[in-house]
Amino acid sequence: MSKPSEPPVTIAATVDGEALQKLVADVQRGDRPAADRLVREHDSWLRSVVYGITGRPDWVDDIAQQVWIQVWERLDSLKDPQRLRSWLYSVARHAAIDAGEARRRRDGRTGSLDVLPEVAAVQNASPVGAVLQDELQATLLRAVQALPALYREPFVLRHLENWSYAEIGDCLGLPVETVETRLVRARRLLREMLHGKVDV
Amino acid sequence: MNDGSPELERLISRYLDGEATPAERRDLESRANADAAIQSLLAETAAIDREVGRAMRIAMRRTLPLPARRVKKVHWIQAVGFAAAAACIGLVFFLSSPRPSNGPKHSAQRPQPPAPVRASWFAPPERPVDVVEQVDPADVRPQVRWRDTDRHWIVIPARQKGQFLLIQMDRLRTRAIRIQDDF
Repeated sequence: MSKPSEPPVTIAATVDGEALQKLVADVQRGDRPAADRLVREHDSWLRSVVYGITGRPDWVDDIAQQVWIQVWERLDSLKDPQRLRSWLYSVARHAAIDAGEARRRRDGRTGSLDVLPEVAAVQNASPVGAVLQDELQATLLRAVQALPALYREPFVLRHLENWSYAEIGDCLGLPVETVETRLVRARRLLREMLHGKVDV
Repeated sequence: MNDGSPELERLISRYLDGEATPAERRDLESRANADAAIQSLLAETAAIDREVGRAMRIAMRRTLPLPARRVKKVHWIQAVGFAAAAACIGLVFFLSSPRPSNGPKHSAQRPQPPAPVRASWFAPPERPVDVVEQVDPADVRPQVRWRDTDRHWIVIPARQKGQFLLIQMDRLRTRAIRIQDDF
């Protein structure tokens, strides 16, 4: 009887692992270029995670800054560099939840002037078209904000980072089937909220 | 509003995310062609996906996500072609570069600085040595102090004595963070 074959370890994966280990070790030693590289490679998806959790694109800059400060303060606690992505996700998730709660508490006390983020100017042929476009943009973002964070998180990572189900599951610590189910539910809720509002 | 069965919704979701197998894709496309309701559900879901994705990218100041990187295989004939082209370029550089000759040396009339030694044919020429300009010792910061003000200034001495460029900082944003010995 033949022995079941083990999954092959690709050279690329090994090299990536070694490179990651070296990058983390360099950053832990205080190597500035390595720290810059770490930020360049991971800032984008960490911002998407923050947006996915809070649903507020206008909060992302501030919270992402807090996330990176916490990363520098706690990087020594990362013992296994292979787990860098899930460790960063954990830091970002907690920072986003804490910051979101603090902002909601503050807004509850003082009343908030926060509205949906200023919509980037969309070049349209007419001012009326631009206004309609801005309104649609605000409506779409409100719909995303109204999604439960549970469903919004994979939805944002799928659309902003173009990650596969496996990559999303790897980052969020979920089975692929769960990621798929949450995306189906996110789409169902968005369809219910936006029915008739988007040109097909 | 929920027009589709859970199985159909899952199939549409997989289709839009590029996770459906070729068989699943064919199955959904044939069902959409045969049933207007399914076609409508697919079109609406795709439109919402597209518009919501676009809205999120604008809000997050993102460009369209790049497609997954694919490694392009280079055929051996192409590889040989590239190598031949590189060799031709190298030969052109070699033939067009100045070489020492035994003819009369006009340069003896006018002394020329020695040409910098280049490590490689393709390396850029080395930059000339920086010339340090003597600065007038009187060209220093003005002995002026602002008191009782919250404004911040950057003072840069100008070329002429007594002239300075003043930059007023409206917002000075600093943040102190703890620096650990081992990081």
